[in-house]
Order: sequence, then C-alpha cells, then structure tokens
Amino acid sequence: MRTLVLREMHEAMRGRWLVAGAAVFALLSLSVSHLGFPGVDAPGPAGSSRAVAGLLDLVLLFVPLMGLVTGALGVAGEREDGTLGLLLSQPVSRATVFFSKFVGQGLCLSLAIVLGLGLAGLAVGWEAGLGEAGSCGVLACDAILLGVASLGIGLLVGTLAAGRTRALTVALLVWVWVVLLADLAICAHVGPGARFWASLANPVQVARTLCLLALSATNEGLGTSGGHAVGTFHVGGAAALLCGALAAWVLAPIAAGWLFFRRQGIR
Amino acid sequence: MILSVRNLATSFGRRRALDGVSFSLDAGEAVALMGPNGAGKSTIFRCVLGLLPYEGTIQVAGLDATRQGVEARRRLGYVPQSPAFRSSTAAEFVHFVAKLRGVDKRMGDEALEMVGLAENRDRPVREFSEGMRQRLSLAAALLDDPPLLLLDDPTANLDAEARARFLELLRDLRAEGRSLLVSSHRAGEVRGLVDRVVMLREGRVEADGPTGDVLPIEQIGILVTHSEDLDSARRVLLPHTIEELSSTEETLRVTVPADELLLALDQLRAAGLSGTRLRVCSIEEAEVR
Repeated sequence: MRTLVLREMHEAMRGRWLVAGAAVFALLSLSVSHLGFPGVDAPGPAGSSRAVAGLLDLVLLFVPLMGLVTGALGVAGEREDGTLGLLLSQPVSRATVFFSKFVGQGLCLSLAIVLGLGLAGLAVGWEAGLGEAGSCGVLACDAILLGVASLGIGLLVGTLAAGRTRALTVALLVWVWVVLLADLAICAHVGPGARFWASLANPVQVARTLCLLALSATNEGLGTSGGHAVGTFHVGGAAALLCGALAAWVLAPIAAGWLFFRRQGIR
Repeated sequence: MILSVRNLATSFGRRRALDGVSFSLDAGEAVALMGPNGAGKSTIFRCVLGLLPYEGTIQVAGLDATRQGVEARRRLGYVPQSPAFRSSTAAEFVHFVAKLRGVDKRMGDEALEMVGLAENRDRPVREFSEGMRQRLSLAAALLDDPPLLLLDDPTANLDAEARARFLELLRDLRAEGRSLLVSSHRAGEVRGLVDRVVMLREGRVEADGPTGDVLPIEQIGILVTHSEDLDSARRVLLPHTIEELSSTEETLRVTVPADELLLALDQLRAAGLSGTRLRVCSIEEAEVR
C-alpha cells in the first residue's frame, strides 16, 4: 500500500491541478488574512476575527473544489488513459488501489490546506498574537475534514462517471450545488429547526457551522439554524451532532465509492 | 496447465461479449487468440486479469482468477495494447512495477537492458515511439519472471521495423520456453510464433487447433531478378519466407504468405531495394521460371 500511496502523492505533485490549486489557495489566504488587519481600509469589523471569518469563507469556497476535482480525475482520468487497468493487472488487490488513492490524495490535499492556512496563520499571529493564530489551526482542522469529505465525494463521482470529461462536469455541478445552491434552496423553504437538520445533508454547511461554533464565544454569526441547534442541544450537543455529521460525510462517500469500484468492470 | 478457461461469458450491457469460451494453455505453450475486431480477444485478457466480472471459471496455474486474484496475477505478465504511465520515465515505471511485484529494482534495470532501453532509462515515456513503449511494457511484464505472458495485440500500433523487432523479442522468449497468450489479427505475425490458434468470432470459439490447421497459408511468389544485391533482398524477405525456390546468382525466388506480401514489398522498398526488378507471381509461375 505504501508504494501506491507514494505514487498517488507523486502523481498529485506532478499534476498541475493540485499544485496550482494549492498555490492559488495560499495566495488568497495570505491576501484575505491581510485584509482583516487593523489599518487596512476594508468594510466590516477589523481585527483577526475578520481575517479568520474571511479565511473560513475562502475555505468553504475553495477546499471542496480542490477535493472534488482531485478525486473525480483520480479515478476517471486513470481509467480512461489505461493506468488503472495496468495497476489492477498487477498483483495488488482492488481495495489497496482504491484506498491508496484516497490516502495519497488526501495527504496531498491536507498538505495544500496546511500550507495555505499556515502562511495565513503566521501572518495573523504576527499581527494579533499567538492566541489568534490558534483560530487558524482550528480552521485548518475543519478545512482538512471538509477536504477529505469532498475528496471522497470526488472519488465516488470518478468511479461512477463514464469518462474524464463527464467526471469533471459532475464534480463541478456538485461543487456549485454544495457551495451555492443548496443553502439558497433550503433557506427559501423551511424554518430554523428544519434548516439545521437539512444543513447536515451538506458537508460545506456542516463544516461552516462547526467552525463557527468552535471559534465563536457567542452565538453570533452561527446563523438562525446554528443558533437554533445551540438553543436546542446546547453547545456540546450541537458540536457532537456536527462532528458526527462531518465524520459521516468523510466515511459514507468513500464507502459508497468502494462498493461500486470493487465490482466495476475496467474496459 | 498454466491457464484454463472454461465456459467464460460476460456482457457489456445487453451485448454478449463472450459466450461460453473454453480453451487452455499448457506450460511452455504459445497460443494466439485471433479474430476480427469485437470478437472478444481483449475481453478475455481483461477477464483473466480480473478487470471484468464474468461467469465461468478461469484458473492461472491452478489458482482461481477471481478468488485468488492477487496470487494468480503474480504468475502473469501483461502487455497492453496502449501502454500507460506516460508521465514517468522508463526507469521510474519499471522500478514502480518492481516494487508492486516485490522484486528488487535491479531486476527492472536488467529488464530494460534486455529489451534494449537501458540508454533511454531516464527519458519520459511520452517521448518514446510506440515501439519503445511496447518494449517498455514487455520489460515491466517480465519482472518477477512470470510463467505466463499475456500480450494484447502488442504490435497493433507499430511500424514495420518496430513490429519486426518486437516479434523477434517474443520469439526469443518463446525459445526460452515461456508460455505466451497473444492476441492478434495478423495471421503472418503469429504463424512463426505460436503452437496453437484459438479463432474467435462474436464472442465464441470458432476453431481451436494447431497453427497450420487453423491458418492454412495462401502463398504467393516473389521474383527478384537482375538485382545487384540479392543478399540484402534475401535478408529482408527472410522473416516472411515460407520457402526459397531454386535461386541463381541473378534471381531470387521465394514464396511468402499472401497476407504479408504488401508488408514485404514495403520493407524491400524501405531497405533501398526499389531499383531491383521485383515481380509478384503465382507459386507455379515462380517454380517454373
């Protein structure tokens, strides 16, 4: 398995997509953290909290995109160019090949997130002190979980899609849904209680609420659904529910992907 | 028995791609799977490698290809029609496969040497010609010294020279006593290489028997006359020659398989023998002259 994990990491580093994504993410993280500092002429509350809020928005927008595309292309692309067939014709099990992709790509994605948010954390820590830089650590943990969940969904998409182009298209549609449309669709139709439960069906919303819950001393900024959850289950209960939901989002797509992959014909 | 395939069947959607295919391969034997495109040749390889779900039984050296897939594949080397891993260098590729197969990477270097790619070991595979890529695939397939090689139409994308070189490598492996299962739709290619031919059509075995019985040779004569370089012509025609008839100092008379005639003429031309007087004729005519 080690050989295959290292190969996945090597391929991810050699491929342009993840490296370019990591570079853009690092650059944007630095810019966003800089805009939050006092003295910078920007609207909204000044200080590190504004910087971290900006970084959270960036994470929720960018990390799912990186995870979805990396996962989708990892399976569909290699199936299309014959690499997957050649790998599976060697004396290794399908489980080893599939889960090596998940682990290898997950490690690369996590590295990209740590790099981007690490630079931003250093900048925030320099301006606002070590305690504030810790917020970036919490954000990084949340981002890694979201990234790994998105990667699992991407691998599921790549397993089911017929080719590279279709996999990429579906991955982008999923991204538009989870980042933009899902929340709008839910907000328009249901009240705060139902909205909280409905938001658990979207990993981006789960990661957002969980991060805000971890970083906020008050319920401000949690939104109506998050506020409702804290009101109903208290902070500990809401956090446990959100952690469970995010764990399910990490495990369920990759388990579903494996169920399809193990029986799939490679032509 | 190194490979046993019994009542193999599989479908792509509603289409039955294989329907009750049975054949076997003894240790040291070379067998060709032949048939038109869509006959099921590549599909059989994919079933043997565990890439496609199937009905029936496949055993590799007594191991079930599904239940004991990993161990079964350890006894197989596979050369696909189009090699992958194009972003790696040749050395990276064979070392990676060596690691997967649990053998020392020095065996990878030896395999590169064997197929004549040692000098190109650090070049990216994407810069290789098709012939070099196929030789690289063969090098990877030979790691761990598997008793059975599966070659899926390995010369399909090769030019005449690369094809001749690749077939020579296969003939060497054959002479070492290695078992080969090779798919092709070129009768001329497999005639000098395999003991038996399994002819497929629409997913079924149409014929299974010794090469000469399944692929009777339709011969045609070539006369090379008044050439200054009959020896060169003889060398070029040698891989295709079925029989050299009574030749003189001024005339070379050979018979070649009819389906190799165009290739042989192309090779004569490529060898600079276009100025020679060539004549294509029936066997009877070649014998009389």
